[in-house]
This record gives sequence, C-alpha cells and structure tokens, in this order.
Amino acid sequence: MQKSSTASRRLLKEYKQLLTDTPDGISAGPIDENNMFEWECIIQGPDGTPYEGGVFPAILKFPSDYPLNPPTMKFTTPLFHPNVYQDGTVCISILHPPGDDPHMYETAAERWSPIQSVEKILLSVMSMLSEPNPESGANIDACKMFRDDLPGFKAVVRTNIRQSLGL
Amino acid sequence: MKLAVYGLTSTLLVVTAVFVAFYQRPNFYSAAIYLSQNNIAFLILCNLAVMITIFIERLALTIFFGDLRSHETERLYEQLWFTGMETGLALTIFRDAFDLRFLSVLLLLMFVKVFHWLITERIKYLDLIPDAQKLLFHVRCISTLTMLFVVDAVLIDYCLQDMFNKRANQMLIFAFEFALLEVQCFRNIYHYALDCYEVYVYRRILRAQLQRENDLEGVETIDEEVWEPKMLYVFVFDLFADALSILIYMAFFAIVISFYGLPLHIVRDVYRTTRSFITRIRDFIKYRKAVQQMNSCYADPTPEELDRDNVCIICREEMTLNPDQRTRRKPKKLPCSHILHLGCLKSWLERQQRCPTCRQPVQPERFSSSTRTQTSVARTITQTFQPTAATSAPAPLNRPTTGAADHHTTGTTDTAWAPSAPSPTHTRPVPTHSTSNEEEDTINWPFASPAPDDYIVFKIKDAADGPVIVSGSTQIPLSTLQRQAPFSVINIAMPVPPGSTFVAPNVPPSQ
Repeated sequence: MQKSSTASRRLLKEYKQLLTDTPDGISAGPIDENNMFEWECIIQGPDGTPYEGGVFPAILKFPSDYPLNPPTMKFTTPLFHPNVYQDGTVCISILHPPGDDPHMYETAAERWSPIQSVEKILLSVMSMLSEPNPESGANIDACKMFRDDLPGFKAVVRTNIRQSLGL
Repeated sequence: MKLAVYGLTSTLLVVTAVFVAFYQRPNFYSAAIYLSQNNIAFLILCNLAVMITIFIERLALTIFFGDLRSHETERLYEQLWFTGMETGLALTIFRDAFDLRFLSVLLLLMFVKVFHWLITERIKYLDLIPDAQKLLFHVRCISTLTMLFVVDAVLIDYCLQDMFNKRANQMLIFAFEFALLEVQCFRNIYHYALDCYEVYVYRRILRAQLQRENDLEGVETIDEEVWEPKMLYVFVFDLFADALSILIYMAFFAIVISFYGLPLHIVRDVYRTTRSFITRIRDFIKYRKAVQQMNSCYADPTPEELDRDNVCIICREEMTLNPDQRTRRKPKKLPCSHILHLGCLKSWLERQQRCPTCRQPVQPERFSSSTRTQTSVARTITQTFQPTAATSAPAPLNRPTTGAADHHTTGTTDTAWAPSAPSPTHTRPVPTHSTSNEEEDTINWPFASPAPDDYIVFKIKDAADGPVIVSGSTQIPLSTLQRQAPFSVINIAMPVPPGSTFVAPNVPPSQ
C-alpha cells in the first residue's frame, strides 16, 4: 500500500509482541494508533539503584526507514543521569545510527542494527539506569557528581523523582 | 503566550516613545527627527519591526502550513539557535556595513529560512506517512515550494543587482545565503516529486494486484513492491545538489577570504557538506558493488537452513522458499550464513555493507584487488551445494564442517591445526576445484593429503599479485588455492586481514 509499510508493520508487530509479553518494568506503545512512528513508553527505575521507585515516561520517535535506522528516545520528566542529556535525550550507543563513529569512540558493533528492537532498547535503557557510564557522558554535571560525590548524586536523583511523582 | 507578552510590551514601548516624542516636540517634523535620531527610540522602533515580522511570519505559516506538529516546532527552534550563532559570526565579517538595510534584509532572510526548514520537515513527514495526506497537504506543499522558488530567485537577483550597482558589498552574504536556499528549495522540490510519484506507483500496483487476485489475501502481498529506482534518482539529484552547494560555498569562501578574512560562520557547513558529499559517493559505490554481487554471490538457503531460523531479522516476517514469490521476498544467505529477505537486505545495504546480525562485511573486499580473484570467489560460492563435474575433486559438498574428530599435523612448519572446528554459523564449505574449461597450473602441494574432517590453518600474506597463503617456504596465490586445492576452502568469501590465519577443512580428493 505504501512504502513505509515495512516500518509500520514491523512496529505493529513489535507492539503486539510487547502487549502479549511485556518485560517487567517497561511498557510502551504508540501514542496514536494511526501513527506508528511515535511511541510513548514508561520505564520503572530499577530496584537497588537511586532510581528505584521512580517512573520515567519517554517519547520514542521512529524514522521512516525503521528498522534500518534507530529511533530517538527522550525522557519527558527530568532525569539526572550521566548518559541522559539535560533535555531528556538518551545517549546510548545502540541508539546511534549504523556506521562507524566519526570520532572513533565506539565501534560499529555497538551501534544500531535492525537486530535491535523497542524491547531491547528499553531494556538497555533500564540497564543504563542501573549502571551509568560516566566515560561517555551526556550530562557533564551528572558525570562529575557521579564520580566525585555519589551521595550528592543520589540525593539529586531522589529529589527529582519525588518532584516528578508530585510528592 | 510568551509571544503575546512580547508583542504587547513592544507595542507599549512604541506607543510610549511616540507619545513622548510628540509631547516634547512642537511639531510632527521634529518629533519624527527625534524618533529616528535618538538611540533608544530607534531601538524601540527596530524592535517593533522585528515584532511585526514575527507576527506576519506566524500568519504566513498558518496559511501555508496549518498547524505545526510538535516535532516541527522543535526542529525550528533548534535551527534558529544554530543560525543565530552563525549569523552572529557572519556579522563580525561585515561589521562595517551594518545598517538599517542590512538589518531588514537579515530579517527577510530569516523569514524565508523558516519556510525552507518547515517545508523540508513537511516533505519528510510525507515520506513517513504517505497515505494519510489529504489534498490540502499537497496544495500547501506545491504552493509553498513554488512561492519559495520564485522568491529565492527574485531575492538573489535583487542582492546581486544591489551589490554590483551600488557597490554594497554586504549584499554578497545575502546573495550567497539565498543561493543556498534556492538549492535547498530545489532539493525539496525533487524529493517531493519523487515521493508523490512513488505513492502513485504504489497505488497503481495496488490496483493491478487487486484486480488480479481480488479473491484471496491480496492485502498481505501488496506492499512488498518497492519502487527501487527511487534510490538511484534520489542519489543522483542529491549528488547534484551537493555539488551545487559546494560550488556556492567555495565561491563565497574564496571571495570572502580574499577581501575580508576567514568566514568562520560557514566553516562548519563547508566541512559538513563536503563530508556528506564524499561519504555519499563512497557508500553508493559500495552499495552498487554489493547489489551486483548479490545475485551471483549469495546463495539461496536450503530448506533445512530455513527451518532453523525463518524470521527475517529486518522485517521480522517469515521467509519461505516459494519459487513464484516476488524477488524481494526471496530469502538470501550472506557469506556469514545469516538469512534475510532479498528486499530487506538491499535496503539495509543502502546504509551499511555489513550483516545486520553479526556485522561481518557482506562482500569479499579483501580479495577484490584482482578481478580474477573476485570472479573466482563468486564462482566458487555459487558452486556451493551444486555437485560439479570438476577435474580434481568433487568433494562431498554439503558435508557438515563441524565435528572434526582427530587432528594431525602435516609436517609443514607454517601450517597449524585449528583447535576446533569453526562454528557452523560462520563457515561454509566451498568447493574450490576449477571448472573444466579453465587452464590448470600445476602446483605441488607442500603438505600431505589430509584426512577427512581435518582442518588446515593457513597464514595469509599480501604479495604483489594479491593475497598468498604461506606454507613453509612456498607461497601459493590464494586464487590458485581457490581453483586447485584438493580440498574445500571455507571462509573464502570473508575478508581476511593479512597476517591472519585461514582455515580450510580438508576434503580428500577423490582418487
């Protein structure tokens, strides 16, 4: 019917898959079922981390040639994390477009490939929450605090979570 | 809301300034003089002009674009931010010429730029959801594109006229900017035309198919057709547009650097455009190569292989071996033995020439130095799983390569035994005997004829005539090995860096 059908059909498939078998701590689906290219997802803060108890909504935006190119992910509540930009954009290697990094920082193997899926992205983001990587920082303040002042870092995270939950 | 506050404040300021002027001055003339001479009053008036421009812009945007999507607004602000910075840098070059006219043309430039950004986003959106677009969308697109094309041309002409007639050098920067916008407009026009044509092609295919198979599950198979030449057209046009902008950049760069100094504000753009130009060409060459080799090089999978894993990793749909299905739905096997739909594979190769699952390169780049080797590789691979009448060794072709039981040495110094059989997902036995019409070079194998189920590891080196394998003091060109080895050679289709080892399963020659 249209050439984006590969993308939208794969997204529909992933959506159905997620509906039947949702991993713990994540939920995701299109905002408007007529447009499969914008999803809202919710990630729970993993237990045993400062993010525990937090609920983090994010918007996933898919390109027209998904799954050949990765979606972008942006948290809509403030999330203080070394690998999340201040505007909420998530910076993890599997969300970077395929090909070699122009800065030679990460290998092509870590970057996007059609083998990834929404579920895998969300699980990666969850593991990113439990294991921040201050080496490739997106939020420099968070990186610094995470390295030098862990208690302070935790306090900021907790305050943010309480605020976003309206407590 | 913010805009309303801004508008209100600006208007109030102007009203106050005008009121003060007329209250303090005796007549209209001196009040007008005051308003244009006093710095603060002048600034307030300029602000009014900016405000009016913004409001006209809003109005024009509503007429030409309707409601903006959140994504579009976001992009708009992002672009404004960058452009703001670049304009700041540009102003440093032309700081002497900064006057009211400069400011007004600058405002005009911004006004037009916003339109270009938004129409670009709109056309991308059409690419995303082609069918959901109504007539109004197309009317808006076409009218905007036509208008922009004309406006850009008029403005370029105006700036150039001004520059030559009145020796107003600062107009150079605007002529340049508008020329770039015209290129962008051209880009948008052909993207839009191609997208529309693509939609039309699909509609036609859909109708034809519905007529043909209107009884059974037509809907499922309809969307498999892809208008493949689109990629080529987009590439050619993009290349042309890129070349055009590089030319414009270079011209501007040359002029500015000879008269003013380094134009800092476009360094980023020049770098970006040139890089995209180069990568575009390189990627395209790689893609063409991969596609050319696709039909000859990559084998069709066997039913057993398909049974193991029949989901295409790209579209997540099942692959079947059905002879009368569309070509794009045919499963194909990569050298690393991962299986994908041909169509999905092609679209992926447009972006990257590696297997999406294991990221092995999909083409034997390593051996592409000599065409002889390349064709030989292609031939040996297509011969896989097809018993051939060869002169030397019709080996049992789809004999499993795993499960090597006992290894023994061959007595040569440079060959070593592989510790274990290579994993089946990465290997594939390739019969390497030459076809009968090929001339035979006689070669004395420096190693003993190995037992079945054994593996020899070769070292590969780069030599003048291409890669060679080293065995003791003998060097055998890889191409000869491919043609004449009395055993199957695996991994031949994978690029092997020089100095690395090379595993070959030994298949005894039939005596």
